[in-house]
Amino acid sequence: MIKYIIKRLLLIIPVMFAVSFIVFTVLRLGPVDPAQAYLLNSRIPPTEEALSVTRAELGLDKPFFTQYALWLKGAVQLDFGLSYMTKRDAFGDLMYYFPTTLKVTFLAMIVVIIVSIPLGILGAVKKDSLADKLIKFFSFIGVSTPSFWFGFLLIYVFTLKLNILPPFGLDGISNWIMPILTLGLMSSAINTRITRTSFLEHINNRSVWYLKVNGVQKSTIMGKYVLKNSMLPVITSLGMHFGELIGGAVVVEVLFALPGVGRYVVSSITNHDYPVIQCFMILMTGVFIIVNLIIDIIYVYLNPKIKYGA
Amino acid sequence: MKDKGLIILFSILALIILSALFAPFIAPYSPYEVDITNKFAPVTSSHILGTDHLGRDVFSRIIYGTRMSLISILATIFLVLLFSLIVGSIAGFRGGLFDSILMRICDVFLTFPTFILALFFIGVLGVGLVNVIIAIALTHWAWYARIVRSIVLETKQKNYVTAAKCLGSSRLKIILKHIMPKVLSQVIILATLDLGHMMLHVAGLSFLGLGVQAPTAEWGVMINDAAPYIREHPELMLYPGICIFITVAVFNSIGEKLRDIYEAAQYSRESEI
Amino acid sequence: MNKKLISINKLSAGTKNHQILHDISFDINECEIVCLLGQSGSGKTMTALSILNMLPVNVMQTSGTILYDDKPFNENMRGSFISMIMQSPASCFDSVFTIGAQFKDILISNNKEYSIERVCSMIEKVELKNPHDILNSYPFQLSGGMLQRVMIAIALSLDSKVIIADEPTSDLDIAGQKEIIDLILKLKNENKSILMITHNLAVAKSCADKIAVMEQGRIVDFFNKTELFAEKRHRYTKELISANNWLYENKWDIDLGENNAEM
Repeated sequence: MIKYIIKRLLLIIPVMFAVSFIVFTVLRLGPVDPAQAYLLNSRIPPTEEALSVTRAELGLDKPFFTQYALWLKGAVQLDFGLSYMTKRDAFGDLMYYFPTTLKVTFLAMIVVIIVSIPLGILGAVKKDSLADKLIKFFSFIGVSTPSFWFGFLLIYVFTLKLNILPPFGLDGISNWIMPILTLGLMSSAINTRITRTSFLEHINNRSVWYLKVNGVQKSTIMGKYVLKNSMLPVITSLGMHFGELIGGAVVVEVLFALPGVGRYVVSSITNHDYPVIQCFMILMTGVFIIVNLIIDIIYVYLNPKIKYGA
Repeated sequence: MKDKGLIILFSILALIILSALFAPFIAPYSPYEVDITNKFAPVTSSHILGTDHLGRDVFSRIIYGTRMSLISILATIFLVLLFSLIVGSIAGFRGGLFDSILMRICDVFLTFPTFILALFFIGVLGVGLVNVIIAIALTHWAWYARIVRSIVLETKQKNYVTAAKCLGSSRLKIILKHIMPKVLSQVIILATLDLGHMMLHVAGLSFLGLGVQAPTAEWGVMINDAAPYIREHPELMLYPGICIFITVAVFNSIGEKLRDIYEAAQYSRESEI
Repeated sequence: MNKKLISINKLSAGTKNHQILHDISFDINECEIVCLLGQSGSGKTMTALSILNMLPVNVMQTSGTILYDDKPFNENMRGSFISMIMQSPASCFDSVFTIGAQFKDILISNNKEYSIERVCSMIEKVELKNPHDILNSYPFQLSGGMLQRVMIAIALSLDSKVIIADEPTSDLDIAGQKEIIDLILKLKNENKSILMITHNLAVAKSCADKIAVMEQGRIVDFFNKTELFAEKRHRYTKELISANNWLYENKWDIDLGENNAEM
């Protein structure tokens, strides 16, 4: 087990290396030259002369691999260069906003887990009952609703009509309710389905049948055997949900004016602020990879088939 | 086709497609015709859904919005299928080094969270609907390429393919007659299931101001336009949202029905053998 | 005469538009092995499922009664009165729990004493070595034959009067089959009654006291093992016998009489 964890941790290094290379290369392949982007952000007219000065300044006249090596050298020391827009340290800027983004994402993840898993199990255990039908209806609505529109509906109902939740700001817990519900809706709906299907599939398993026919109580079968088995695919899917949530967080932050990376990144994207975009990608992908690693470790821990290499 | 639900779903889909095709004939006004004197007009017989903050006819904008949504989603799925069928089939058929290299490339694409990767590609390509379509296609193709590859690999080993090989069918014939139909049927079902999800991504990017730009008649843009007036005129936001919801829901439901039918057919075929 | 443990009387069952079992009647007495013999689809497994009251959702018992020690069915009988040994044991155990955990849950659910010593001695009874290792292993770490023995050990520790064995030998090679049949005969010596389901006449002949031959949902022939070669046997039984003789080169050296079934 420890061997496995060390192996997976070491594997992060080449993966992040590949990620950084792709991020760096693809940005260079785009239609907008970094020097031009820099000048546009600095409101300097991009004359030939200004462009060549900027190229020299940013080191863009050097060979491609030298540029990458220099950038990577900085990136390893968490120096991603200065933002073209603000002329401040890109990493520092992002780190100012990043905690809020992480907080929204993780809170939404917790909501997804505590909403979807019990609902999915309830639906499976009481298959075809009224509760199951309502749960299925909830997942149907959830997977088809645009999250930002759902957010607006929440604002309309809870802020404008009922006046019980504040629309903006971060003064207390009540500020977090609507963003987290907005962000978590889709993933909760999807995960409810995954849980329900997985649970139902396992109920029909022969090993369950064997226990039942030899007199094991339904509560033990459901609460122990079916539960643990059906959670395995659900745990794997949580990694995917985390990716959806951290992406959706950008939308939710813009919608509810939360001080996360969202608004900052959207303006970096429209303004071709390459250092910020690069840093953003490395940061988000890094978090995504680490969360998935943790999920994989939990999975292996729970599944002896992999643990004992069968 | 005996399934009643499927008939209803296809009827709604046909309605959506027809309103996209014949938008100029259905819409009573131009979606861009500004009439400031008549802004926020209530529902009347001349403006059946009222007018927006610039006095444009909401119903006409909704109808034209259907076009944008369908075009963007079809273009996206076309690109996804194109990339993935090419990459997946080559990897599956050729195997060896080709396969390893292509699959490693897929792995790298799958390392990124989808929506974040789409943001990145827009950062590279610039803002706009075409770039949003390319970005979303680029973020989804790798999933499909892997699925195509695994279906190709699986089908290659099926007895009937081996039998065809032994009987001397040419390689191309085996691919076209035995393997491609199987790959396509499964991938198209998956794509139908995914259409709605991709459409929500397009709408989300439009909301962030990275996709379709105002004043284009598009549902995401309409929601954004209506946001400042949510207190007084919530209905302006409701209509386009409901349209997105219905379209996504129809695609999701059709995808699920098709999958169930396919799985049932597959199951009965296997149990016969 | 021995006590009737299970008495099936005119049992019929089927789906909405298809009758699967027709008027099945037979008894399982104390300390005897009854074999249900027939091809797949003949209804032998459905009969066993009816006895366990575990018919699939779309199949219903349409008429007839089953009495268990003169009492009607109740759920507590599963495990404590009837237990079951299944075929393809690799898929019958849960792969995320150890054998020991499943052994324990089955015993505790039936209010049977669970102690490592008792369980280990049961495992040794079915001729498996290193019982501690077996309890600590996961099903995918053991072979099919070993898992089949574990199932027999579980049935043995449950101390149930009746054991239903559904094709316990079908996944094994011929040496493994013999070992399992020996164990089943051993179960009988421990005062168990066994309902053995098999498609294999040789298996039935080697362990059964009584054989019920099933064809298309009916019991077409029911006899004591000693009467197997009697002339009044049903056509289908004779077909089975002659097929078996042909396959095993007539090593039984049997005269089937004038009404020799055609092959």
